[in-house]
Amino acid sequence: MADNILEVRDLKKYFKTPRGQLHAVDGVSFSIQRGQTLGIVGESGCGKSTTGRCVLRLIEPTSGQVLFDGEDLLSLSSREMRRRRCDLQIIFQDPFSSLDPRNTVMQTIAEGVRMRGKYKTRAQVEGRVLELMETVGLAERLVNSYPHELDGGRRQRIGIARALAVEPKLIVCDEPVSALDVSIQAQILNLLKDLQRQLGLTYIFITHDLAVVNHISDEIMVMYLGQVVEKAPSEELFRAPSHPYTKALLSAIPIPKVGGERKRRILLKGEVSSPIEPGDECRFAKRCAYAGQVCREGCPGLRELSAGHVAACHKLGADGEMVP
Amino acid sequence: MKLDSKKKEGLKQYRKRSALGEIFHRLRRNKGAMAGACILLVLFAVALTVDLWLDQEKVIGMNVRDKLQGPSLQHWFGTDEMGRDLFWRVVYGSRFSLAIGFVAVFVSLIVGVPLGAVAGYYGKKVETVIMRFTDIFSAVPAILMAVVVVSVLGTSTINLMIAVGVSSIPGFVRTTRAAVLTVRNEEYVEAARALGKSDLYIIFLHVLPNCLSPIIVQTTLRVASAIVSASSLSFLGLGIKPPAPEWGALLTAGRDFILDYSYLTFFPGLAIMITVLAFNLLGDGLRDAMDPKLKR
Repeated sequence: MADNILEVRDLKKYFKTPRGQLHAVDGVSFSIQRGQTLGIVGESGCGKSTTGRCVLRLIEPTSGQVLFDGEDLLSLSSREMRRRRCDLQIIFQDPFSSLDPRNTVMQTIAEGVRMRGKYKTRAQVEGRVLELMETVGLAERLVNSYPHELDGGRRQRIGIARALAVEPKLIVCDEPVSALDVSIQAQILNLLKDLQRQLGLTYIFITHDLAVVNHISDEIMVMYLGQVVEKAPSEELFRAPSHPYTKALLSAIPIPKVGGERKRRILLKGEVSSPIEPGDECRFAKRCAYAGQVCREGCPGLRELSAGHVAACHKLGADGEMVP
Repeated sequence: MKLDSKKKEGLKQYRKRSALGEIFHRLRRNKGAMAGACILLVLFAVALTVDLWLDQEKVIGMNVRDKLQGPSLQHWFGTDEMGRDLFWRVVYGSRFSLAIGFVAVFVSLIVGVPLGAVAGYYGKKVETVIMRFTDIFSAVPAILMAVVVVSVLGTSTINLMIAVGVSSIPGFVRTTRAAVLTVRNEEYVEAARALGKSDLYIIFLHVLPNCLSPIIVQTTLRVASAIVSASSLSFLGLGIKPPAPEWGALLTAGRDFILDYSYLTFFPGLAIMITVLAFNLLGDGLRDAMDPKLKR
């Protein structure tokens, strides 16, 4: 049996709106093996960030189970949960708003260090902060700087150091590089990969950037309107995308090659349908080139295409080809 | 603990003043703030010691022959309708007025800010309950509210201060809540929650420090209105009894003569204005000193 550090079962988060229930996350299930990275991709508003925050209980899910090391986090009281929070951390997208503008680098990281309770005296805490700064590649002289004095990449490193300070086992990376310059993106991604190797971390990596997710993930989960439409090991997904939405997403990756063969792009028409009170139909049906009667009549479930590769589409044949 | 000596030294090298020391250091370089602080220092020194060196007779002793004289070398601020020297009355009045302004605002600050912070941070039912009570509270006229408080607690100077403070609580609740609302969804608040910090820790160490500006402004402005509303209570016989001077009361008394002897209202008004200005300068300086973005 695989060593799953996290298992999420039928996670749902509905928000109340004046026009009805908004199904932000609707029956998402997945599991991650220890030390691996699960990439979650999808367009804005598909519920990928909400999923990440529900796992951490930063947003209380409506229903479902989040088994972390076999223990259901959602059944914990808020006090017990606070104690467990050290095991699960989050790195935010925007390094400009994720750091308290009134705290120095030292104060920000020390906050996390103190949570573990291992470092008692001030000198110990400060020593640990300097260690962490070195780990994430921040120069020591920045220790008393304020966030507004630093650039985006450095700020993001502070965010990473803060998350590492409590010695977590799993980190949810919520678009950690999409607010950064491309040159810095690579640095941060490599830092995250190095840290994973050194510390045996498990990542949930949320992004809309497919090139990024390919670089870092072992497995990729594609979400559309609060549901998982496809999940597969990264290589497999890039080699043989099955769901029409995944195909469209992948065809949109630019190829940095001059004079090469032009790839045919799949252009999606129409708009994302509303996540408020969605009917019992395939949520992608309105934009899908293959959609037929059956798609409008029922929501497709996930089917296994090959080992570890699942997709949710009525029109998908057993061989992974589309059936007209 | 694998902390090598190089790191220990490095730490000392980068260590700066403590947070409080830093704030004080920056405050000292702010001329306006220092001016405000100096004025307040003088005012408080006078208010606290005036009993010791000022003859009561000078303050309340009547001398009808000299009544309603304009400002002169003998009577710097002139004399009132009873011939009492206005300058000494204003000086002596600082004892009451400063205490009222300070204590009343302090009362509403320590009650109003936590309530507003809790309402803004938790939202939902907690917010509804607190804010609706605040609404009910502010629907009752401030004077009436103060009258109720004074008549429940009894007439005394300290109760007067509490009464004035209580009636300005709603303002603080609203201001704080509004400021907290803008901060509570920031990601650094979420990050602190993800670290497992308690709600109280987050409210007092992350949310409130980032909400200071409007609260400080509200505080400095409230000092003035506290002094004035205390005088209306005195007028109703619920506060400081005449002939004890108090700036608000002096203003009210001078109002009857405002056309012919305007200096009777001008000087007490000036005293209130200078006090408020000093609070304001210090408050603004404090706000700037506490904001690391405005460094240098």
